[in-house]
Amino acid sequence: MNSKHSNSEQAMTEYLDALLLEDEVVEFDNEPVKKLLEQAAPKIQQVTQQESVTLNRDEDLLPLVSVKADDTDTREALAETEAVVETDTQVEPEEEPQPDAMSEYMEDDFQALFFKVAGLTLAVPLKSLGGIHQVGKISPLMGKPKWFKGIMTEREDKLQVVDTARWVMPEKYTEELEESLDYQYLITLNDSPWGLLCEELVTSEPLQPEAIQWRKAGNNKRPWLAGVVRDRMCALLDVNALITLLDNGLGHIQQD
Amino acid sequence: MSKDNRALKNETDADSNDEVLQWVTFQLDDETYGINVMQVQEVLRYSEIAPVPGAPNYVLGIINLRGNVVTVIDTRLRFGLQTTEVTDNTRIVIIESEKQVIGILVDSVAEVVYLKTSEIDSAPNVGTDESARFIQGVSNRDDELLILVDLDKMLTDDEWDEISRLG
Repeated sequence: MNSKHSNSEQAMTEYLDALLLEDEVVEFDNEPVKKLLEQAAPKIQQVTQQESVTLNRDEDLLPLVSVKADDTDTREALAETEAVVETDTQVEPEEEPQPDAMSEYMEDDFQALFFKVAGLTLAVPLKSLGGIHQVGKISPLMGKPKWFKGIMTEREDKLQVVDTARWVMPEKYTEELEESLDYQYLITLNDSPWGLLCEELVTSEPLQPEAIQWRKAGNNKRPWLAGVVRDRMCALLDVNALITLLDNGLGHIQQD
Repeated sequence: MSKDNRALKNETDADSNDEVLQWVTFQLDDETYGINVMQVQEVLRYSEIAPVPGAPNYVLGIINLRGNVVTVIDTRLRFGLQTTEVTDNTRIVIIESEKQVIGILVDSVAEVVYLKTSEIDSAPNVGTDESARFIQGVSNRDDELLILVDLDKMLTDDEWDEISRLG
């Protein structure tokens, strides 16, 4: 493992520590969480790898686990993924006016996409995705927050690109981390022009509401954090809240 | 007025509102910027810029343009970009803003493009940095982003006053 990768891993661990140890978000005592993290870290890694191998054989999920494939495969996979996502978001729009409303996800199973940024895994409900694009030229605009990397043109669209690592964990964003980042994809959020950069698409899988430690209603410190997916120890994004924050140029932590 | 006539009138109104403007495009780093052609007086090859002691950091210096002293702005610095070497492509674009005539140093000048108003989008409204106000809008041009600059807002009123005293 190279040093860049270890930095990412360290950043991820520290970030998850902070996220999970926050009383308002997760009702765990410190010690058990530490033990859990220690025990879970290698298992999560192992499970992720096993799933990737299994899922690579599964044609239905191939698009979402083809990150390490060659360019042609990746392009094809992405095209299929976009089709899947678009189909998902376009089906029955009238019956589901708020497809990403977190309250809905608390009631029924839903499909989520897992992706990685600086070693940190994040999850987002598939229905809340606008699309997945390969990263192209990003034009920076002067005077914008550092997390706003610029605009990426995609056909007629102007996608507003967020440096996800810098936005989600600015306190961990060092020059070293910045250099180690290798953004590959832009995941756009709902119908908004906002997109999150990610290094790796991990997988997509169904989630049950009870598998998630949901954010408490009164906790407005991280409105973008819908909850934590327990077995993967990763953050589940509240896409609508995230879009609102980005529209307002706000960072990841809100003052009480 | 009949329904058809009303529809025709609305269409005509929409067309007349969709004004076509010409923009001179220039490069800084790998980005393409546009300025309203009506504000561009001329484009000069790079010539020696005489530094002005005590001038603000965004002023590179002055040039003599046919007997007139013109202040040249460090556009890269103003746009928050790293400075770079002067090359054969470097140009000084002489512009006439509402306030006065100045020169802006750019990496190169590309072309004049025609844009309909409807092809111009406003820039994302995030960020409070002073330099955010320079951006008048953005447009897609051959799959590239064209950033349209509002030259009058490149400097504050105080800064315009300051450079007027340099000339």
